Amino acid sequence: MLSRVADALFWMSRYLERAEHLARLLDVSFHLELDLRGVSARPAEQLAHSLSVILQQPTPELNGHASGPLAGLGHWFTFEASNPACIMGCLTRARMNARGVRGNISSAMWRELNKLYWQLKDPEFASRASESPHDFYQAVECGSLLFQGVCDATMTRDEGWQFIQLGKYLERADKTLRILDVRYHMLQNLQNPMDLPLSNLQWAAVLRSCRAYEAYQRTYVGRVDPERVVEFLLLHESFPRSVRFCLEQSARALAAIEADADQNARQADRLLGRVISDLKFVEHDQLQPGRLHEFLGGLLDRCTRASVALQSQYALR
Amino acid sequence: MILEVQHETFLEYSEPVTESVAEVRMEPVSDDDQSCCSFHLAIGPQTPMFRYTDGFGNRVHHYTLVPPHAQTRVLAASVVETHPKPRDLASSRATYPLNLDTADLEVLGFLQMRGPVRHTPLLQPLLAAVRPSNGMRISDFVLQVCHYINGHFTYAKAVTAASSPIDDVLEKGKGVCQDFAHLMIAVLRSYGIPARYVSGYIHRANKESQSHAWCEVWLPDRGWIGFDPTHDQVVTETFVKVAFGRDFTDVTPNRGIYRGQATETISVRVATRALEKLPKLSWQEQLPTLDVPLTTVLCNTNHLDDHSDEQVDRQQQQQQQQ
Amino acid sequence: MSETVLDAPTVNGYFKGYAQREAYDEMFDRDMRPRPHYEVLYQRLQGLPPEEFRRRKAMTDLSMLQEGVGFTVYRQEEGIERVWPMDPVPRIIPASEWKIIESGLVQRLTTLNLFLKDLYHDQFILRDRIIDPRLIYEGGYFRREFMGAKVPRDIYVHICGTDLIRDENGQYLVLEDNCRTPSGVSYMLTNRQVLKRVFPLIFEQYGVRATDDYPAALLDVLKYIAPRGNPDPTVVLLTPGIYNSAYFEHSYLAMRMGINLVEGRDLVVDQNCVWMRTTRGLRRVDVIYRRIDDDFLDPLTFRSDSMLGVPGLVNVYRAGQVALANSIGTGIADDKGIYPFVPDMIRYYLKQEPILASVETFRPVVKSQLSHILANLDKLVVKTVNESGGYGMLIGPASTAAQQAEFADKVRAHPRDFIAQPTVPLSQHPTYVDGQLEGRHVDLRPFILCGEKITVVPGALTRVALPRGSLVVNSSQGGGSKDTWVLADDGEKVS
Repeated sequence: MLSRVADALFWMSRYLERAEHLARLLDVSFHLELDLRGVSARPAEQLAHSLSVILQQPTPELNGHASGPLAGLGHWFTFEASNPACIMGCLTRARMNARGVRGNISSAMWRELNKLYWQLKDPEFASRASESPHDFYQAVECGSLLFQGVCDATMTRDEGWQFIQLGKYLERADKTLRILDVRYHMLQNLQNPMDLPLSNLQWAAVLRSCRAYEAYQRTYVGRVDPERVVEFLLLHESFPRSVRFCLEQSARALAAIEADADQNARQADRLLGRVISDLKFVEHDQLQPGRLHEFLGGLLDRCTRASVALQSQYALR
Repeated sequence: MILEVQHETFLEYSEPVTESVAEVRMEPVSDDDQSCCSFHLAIGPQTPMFRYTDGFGNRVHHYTLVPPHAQTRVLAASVVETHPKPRDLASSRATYPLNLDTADLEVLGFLQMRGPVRHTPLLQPLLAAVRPSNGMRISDFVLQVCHYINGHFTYAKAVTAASSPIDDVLEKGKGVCQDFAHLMIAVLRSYGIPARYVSGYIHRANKESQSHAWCEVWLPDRGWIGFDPTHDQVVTETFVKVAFGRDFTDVTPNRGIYRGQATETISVRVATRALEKLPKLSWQEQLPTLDVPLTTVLCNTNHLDDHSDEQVDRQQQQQQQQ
Repeated sequence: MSETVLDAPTVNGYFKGYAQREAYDEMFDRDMRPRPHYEVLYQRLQGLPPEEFRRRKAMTDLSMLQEGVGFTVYRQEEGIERVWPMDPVPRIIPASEWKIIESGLVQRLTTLNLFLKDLYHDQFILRDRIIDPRLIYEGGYFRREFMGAKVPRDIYVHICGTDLIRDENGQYLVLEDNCRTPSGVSYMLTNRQVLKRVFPLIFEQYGVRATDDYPAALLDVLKYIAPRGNPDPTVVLLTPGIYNSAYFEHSYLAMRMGINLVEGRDLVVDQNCVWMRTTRGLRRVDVIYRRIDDDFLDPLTFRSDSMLGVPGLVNVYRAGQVALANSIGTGIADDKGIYPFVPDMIRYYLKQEPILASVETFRPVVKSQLSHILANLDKLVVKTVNESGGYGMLIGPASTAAQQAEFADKVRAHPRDFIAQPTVPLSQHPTYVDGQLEGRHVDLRPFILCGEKITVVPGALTRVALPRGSLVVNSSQGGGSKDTWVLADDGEKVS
């Protein structure tokens, strides 16, 4: 397979996953913000700050926006043309990548992605985003899930498909790690029993931004416990958004790509393998509040390195 | 005259580049006026060299250097015996205007304005100044053009660029041998006289040698004759001819492309010397080895280099649809 | 061209008010009787309720959209895909007519390939002054630097799209050859797929010859020219990229042939071979079906600012280590300034008379013809010789005095750059317009492949000028297309 094609498939998948993730994160955050009105001081600023950290973007300038800081925030992360990492920016790039490799994906995949793009581009639909953000973000998430379903249902499990999986799961692992890292840091000081309801709300939101709330509830009964959330999102063997699951899927995809390849430099493979075993055999105290940040930071760094290694290994861009 | 030529080109990059693809036209021709007795070409870092004959009959060498490298050195060495045929311009009977209806095909391909030798309003004053009258002997006219250009334009480096069209030298009144040759070709072609561009070397005793360019003019009863407007003379045995074409773009001595964002610095050294007899051991056998070491760095895999996406997009659309 | 409606009997139904002008009508004779091979189609269409016809037309549009048959119209930041409208009424060509077209095209491409080989080697045709050498050397598409280079199997034009039109009497004339990177074959193929769905019953009643073999035939041609006679060569299609207006066709053909669709940056030259960058390292490439113009093909040899090409590619081609289709420098064969000489070429190389006639052409470089052109600018079509796509053209009868004056100046200043032809009233064909069938002008572009032998796919792209009275059929200028049925017989006996 052409390196450029592999590269485009990888990034198509990554950008779409990123858009989906962003949509869910914004949706959950705005809901949460409604709940937190009057409880915490300047929630919009806090929200802007934490979103910026998770998304690794500069904090948006919100002053100029007429209809309030929250609308400004939504616009910035959803449509703002000068912010290439906004939802539309990600979707545009996912579509551009797909367009360059239309012969390598099924026509149904192209159709779904194209449809989603034009649907969100429609000014009428986009204007609804400010009135009912939920509908809009829901459409993004559904579109992405539909695309993944069509992809799995119509594509041969060839090298191209594996690169799509790699893009999806590496992006997912990265985003889950970032949410955990940032939120844990922010919520650490909610130790007071008085803060329990607030803590519960916040941690539920963390789960929701990974679509993990229901799965968590099915596993653990009762209040949402920060330590368990961390364990669940990091280490769960079969929840499709846990870091371990994502990395194991990535490693599987990589192994499938390399099955008949004559590759000596399997750096990406080795990096991924080590991260996975670190997760599998993690020491309990590494997950304690004092050390967690360091642990997550290390994981994030190694995931990034694995992704870079992958690209140089296959001469991707 | 037996002349030995050494031509060294050193390309240096501000940071390592990959996928250099280059071709050089440095092998002197063998024709009525000169014989190329030996030619050697070395390149460092070492890489296989390939050769072909282009549409004009010039010999072209080309090579690629794919792994990262920060410098390239090309060394060409040749021994040429020059033996120009007698010019005897005085007795040429060709007069203006030339009738080319039955002329050789070779000749008819050197009448068109193209590339740097192009139609421009700036050329009009020059054409007004040198104009052949009906019945005028072509050889006299050519000498007149050669003399006029030499007298009215100043030789100066770094005023024009290698890719300059004649507009630049016409506007500034200054240029190098390449511009002088282009200018003379432009005037002659404007009057329907076939003229072609020659690249090569000029040997001057006790003076710095250099790459040189001049032009050749076709006289029906004498064939192609070399004229050098830079020195206002007919070419002699001190001129070594390497390649000819319609203009500079056909005979660029060294043309290359690389991948990377580095800037390229080119240094050139040309040395010539006159020999008593054909040497047994010549420069090329004394050539230093050209092992410029390969730099080991991580591959820079930026595919877009310094081109913006919009430029690429525009070119993609520009392709003609048939 | 006059707009007077001929005094002809009218027909009811969809053809109510159907007007015949001086142009030849594909479906009807002068008495508005359907020609024999159109009889069945005519009856069927007349029997179709208006609502049903509208539904079929909508189905056509939708199918085109779903097939993703689009050409790109460029706007800042993102290309917009537009569908090239397809008319649901097919054009029908009986076997006896096709036989003439086919043999004429084979004769023509045989000649053009002989001409190119001669031109880039011995130049006998110039030495014998059949063509003035200066005309060649002044041609923008002649590649002097490529002289003497040997090309695989001596084939220069492997894929040719020749545009045919019909005059008032229905005689087929060659309007131009496209010898560089002709496009449109994907429309020929998808139009058929769509029409079979839209009018399955009508289709069934005709013995229509299949076109679907084209991609396989093209692949055979590409394999035939592989270096060293390699029986299992790696073939790729080189596209300028997704912003190119024919990108759909590039990806469609690559997919149908099962070959890689590559961009310039996917390829690299090393050791006098061409390689493509794959996830498994570099892979050798043997044959390149390139859809990039010469100018952009190789920045080392041609335009040095090209970002689409492959540096060093031409030298590898020269060395015979990779094959290109089409070859380099083929544009001189479809140069409109050379076009008038093709009949002479046919006589020169084949000692035959041309089977297909050409359009009468005046050349401003000839003094007497220049004055004729200048005196008749209001009647002639003046074309730039080095451009395609319908730009840089003066259609005399439809032009203003100012436009004529502008062209007169241009023609005087650069006589080599223009030719002039009488306005041929392209034949017209019933076309669905707002619930009625009206006559619209059409041309015909068959595709000719040259490999081991020359073959013409039994089908073609019929382009139709949708605005009333328009003679410009180009997709970029309001044209549409029709499915074109080449019959296995003369279509008279079907019931």
